[in-house]
Amino acid sequence: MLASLLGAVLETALNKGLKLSPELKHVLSKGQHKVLSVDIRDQNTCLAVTYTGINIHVLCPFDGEADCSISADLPTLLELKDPSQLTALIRQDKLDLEGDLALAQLYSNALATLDIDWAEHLAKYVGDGPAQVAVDAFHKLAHRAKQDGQVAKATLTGLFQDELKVAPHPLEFQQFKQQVRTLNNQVESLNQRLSALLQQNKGN
Amino acid sequence: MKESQDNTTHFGYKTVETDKKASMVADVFHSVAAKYDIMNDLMSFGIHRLWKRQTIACSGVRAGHKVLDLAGGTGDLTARFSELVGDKGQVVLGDINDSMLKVGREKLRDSGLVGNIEYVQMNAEMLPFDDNTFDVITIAFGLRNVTDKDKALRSMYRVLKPGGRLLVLEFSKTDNEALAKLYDMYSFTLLPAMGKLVANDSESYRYLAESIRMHPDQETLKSMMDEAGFEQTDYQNMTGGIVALHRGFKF
Repeated sequence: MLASLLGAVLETALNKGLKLSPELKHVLSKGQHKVLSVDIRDQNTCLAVTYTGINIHVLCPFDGEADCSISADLPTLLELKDPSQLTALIRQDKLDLEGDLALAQLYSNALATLDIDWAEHLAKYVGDGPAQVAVDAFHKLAHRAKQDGQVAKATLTGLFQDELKVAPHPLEFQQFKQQVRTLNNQVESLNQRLSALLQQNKGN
Repeated sequence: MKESQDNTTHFGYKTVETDKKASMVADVFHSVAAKYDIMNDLMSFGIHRLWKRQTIACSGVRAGHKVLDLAGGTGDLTARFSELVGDKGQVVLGDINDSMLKVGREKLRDSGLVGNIEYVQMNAEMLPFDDNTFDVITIAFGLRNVTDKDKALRSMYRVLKPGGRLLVLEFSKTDNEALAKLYDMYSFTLLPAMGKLVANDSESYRYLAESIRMHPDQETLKSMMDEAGFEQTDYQNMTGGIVALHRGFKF
């Protein structure tokens, strides 16, 4: 039921986006009636998206055949707003894709082209001036929040890594990963040698 | 849930002659047709929309498919199916009750949904279609009103294409005692009162509550579907088992 509710909310948001950004219809029309299924691994949810030429439908929880199926965790899926990331994420094994790659690219492009002129839409209700002021204020607030977030992140990173020393530095982490990889190779090689010796012993 | 040997069946908690049940059910729906949608929203607090969404998500419907929306009433499922199957597909909205069909047809036409929808007055026990016609059949909140459910399921199996699936969305039994008590209280006191207030008809909504109690539980309906020939039948409970979605395939 929660999945259905999630689907309903997502569908309403996407259709609102479709209404406010007419460009989107043109982009999605190339994939009309094709089904893109999205398996959100960390949420254990599978949904499907299809554009019928009139509306976007979100089918959740999805159980059917799709033209293209992608599977990844939520943060990775959010990176798909940048279409150039799609093949990079597949190469990094962060995202699995089966079926029509062009359909996944189409939806990724659609997200990238989503450009809503909020001031124009808001102006219908409050007039041009106040709408522009409100949108500018919102952008400033968002920018400020982003900056503050980055400062807080840098401060906390410094605190945990340098002051309290409870978290490793990225370089230390890389070094540790390298050491684990080397150890893994050594164990593998030792295992092979032991197997060969055991075979030899059996032969004697 | 077969008919009894003496040709009687249940109509809510009453026992009636088998051949009279269809017309009695018809009277109920003639009476409620005009206020059907608003009552659905009121009675279920809008949750029926989520139950129906889940049914469509599980239908596996694709563009070009032929869908039968049985007991389709005012066309909630048909509206979405019509868009999803596109111009090359087709949706048949079937209902035994012409009042419900008229309300459904008017609503869908007003929404601009024309071209790939057919409206057919039909009895689910004797579907007027050739064998292997449909890719998907749905019956939402309709099976409990059918006089001979086994015969209806066999009829659905006949007209379903191999590889197709049947979805039965219907009220069912909750195994949560506290919820069951709350639900009983709601069904037998509040529901008829709401019916009286909004649709000026408390009896029809009393029948609704009674017919839900007389409907087979999840496992019984699953075995009825198995007996009708469906394979890989399963069900999922929704809202604590108050509603269940049964699914079966024809191979």
